[in-house]
Amino acid sequence: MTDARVIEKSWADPEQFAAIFDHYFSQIHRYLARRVGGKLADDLAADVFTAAFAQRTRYDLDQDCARPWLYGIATNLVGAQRRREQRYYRALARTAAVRPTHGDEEERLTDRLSAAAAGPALAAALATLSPGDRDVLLLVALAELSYPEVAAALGIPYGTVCSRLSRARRHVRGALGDINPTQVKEPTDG
Amino acid sequence: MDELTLIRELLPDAPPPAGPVAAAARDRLDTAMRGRRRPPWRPWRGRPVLLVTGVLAAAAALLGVTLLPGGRPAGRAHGQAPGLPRSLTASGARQYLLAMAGTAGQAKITGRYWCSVVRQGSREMVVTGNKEISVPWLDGGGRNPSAARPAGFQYSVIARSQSEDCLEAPHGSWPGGTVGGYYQPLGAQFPTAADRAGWRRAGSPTRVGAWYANQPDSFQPGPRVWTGQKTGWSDYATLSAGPAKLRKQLAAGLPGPASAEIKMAERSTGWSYPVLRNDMLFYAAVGVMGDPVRPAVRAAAYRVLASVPGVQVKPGIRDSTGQLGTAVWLSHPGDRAVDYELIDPANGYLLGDASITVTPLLGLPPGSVLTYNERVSSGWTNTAPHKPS
Repeated sequence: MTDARVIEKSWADPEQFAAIFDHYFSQIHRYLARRVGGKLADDLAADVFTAAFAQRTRYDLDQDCARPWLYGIATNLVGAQRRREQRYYRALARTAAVRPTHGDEEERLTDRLSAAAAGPALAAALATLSPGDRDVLLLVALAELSYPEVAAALGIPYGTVCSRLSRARRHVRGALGDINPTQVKEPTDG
Repeated sequence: MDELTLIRELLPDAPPPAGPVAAAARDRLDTAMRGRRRPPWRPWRGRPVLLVTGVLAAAAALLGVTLLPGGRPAGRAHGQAPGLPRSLTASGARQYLLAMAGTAGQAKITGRYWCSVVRQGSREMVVTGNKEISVPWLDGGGRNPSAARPAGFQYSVIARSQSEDCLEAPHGSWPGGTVGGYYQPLGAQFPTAADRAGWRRAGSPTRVGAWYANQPDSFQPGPRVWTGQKTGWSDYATLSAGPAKLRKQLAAGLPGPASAEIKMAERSTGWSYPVLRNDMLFYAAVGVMGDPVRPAVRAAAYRVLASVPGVQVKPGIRDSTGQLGTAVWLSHPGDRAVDYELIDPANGYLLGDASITVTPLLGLPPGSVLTYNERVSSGWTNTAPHKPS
């Protein structure tokens, strides 16, 4: 059964909506945890599903999959926490370092080292992005939504997604300055 | 490695939420789901019912709009408007409207006046001699307008205007109603480049037809005029929050099968009285949604709508101002156009309405807009409308 059908059934039988929660809660929580950190993500993830339930009569039943809709709600809720999100990135900018990851493949290790070197500047760049550009960038980077899904999530035209993403990536590249992420090999000490 | 990968590394994937976190979130959702099962409205125990003249006026006015398509039954099944995506099934539509009753019942009145700015548009056709056919689909008294363009057709314009109205909620001995507003012609626009070209071929007249004879220039905005204070438009306080009683209130004021209005409607549409009565009840209930009624009454109106046979519902419709709403309409066999209401799924208020063609009509392709009302802004305020000195 499609998400759209589940949501339609929930109009008359609200508890049907629990299936949407069961299917998507974990991934929405993980997206939020990456954007704003753990504790706030706990609260916001719960808010996403109560908000989605309250708005279920606004759901476009032509959209079989509810994933972009839920990410859109999550992104809007993060929007209400812009200052906290920016503080989170600024804290990252001060403390960015190699983080434990799963697996030890060579390529992934290289990525980690590169990110560690670029981390402070990258976090600062995220903190100074315009909210609209940051939403698009992080929905693509973290949620791995397609461009049409981002457009659906944010309620903006496809072309706007492209232009915002392009602008956001330019901003990040510019903020990285001398650090060329394709050439960084190792983090430097001190 | 590109920026996206760097970002993924900077903000590494988080572990799945801990059990207690998911459980707490699920508890919150369960509470919300259980809460919604309770009817949001309360049975109304109030004064004896008076006729709701305002709603009747709205219903009567909308009745004309309802009959605009004017086509006789042509054997076609209840049609989907090409301009509208697929509508819900009958049971889905009913469930949706009942869910909307819950949403509407939880809205809050946060001021004394409900003030709105609405822009209207109406398609007019201009024929040889700079003559304008206003509401051309009614030409010939509403009898089955042609699929072809009118003889001598040159171009179309959309005549636009704007209304600013403030309605006062009932309180004390005040029954509620219009307390004043403004009206302003906004000037005509061409719906398509072909219409502009037709206008140029016709000599680029600055006035179009007799309809605009009093306007200095039919393509420029006219003066914004105070529409005067009008009171006693209706008695909102008497409207019931009980769906059955509200339905009786609304139906009691509708014209009967022997009235001249109904006879004329039957002749021009070929529809029977029961079909027409459904239309009238539909628009009477819709009229309540646009009025400054208690949220519980608006919720009851949604329940009345859910009881009208043939109501079509389609969420996810965006009007030209960008407002996202849910289209609600009635369709009939042989419709040449569909008149739909756009409701705000967030609170149950009306966002606007539009009439669009569903078959070729007067040379227009399916999906063409004939008329529209778009709510530019609306909201509760405690500030009375400013009357010019």
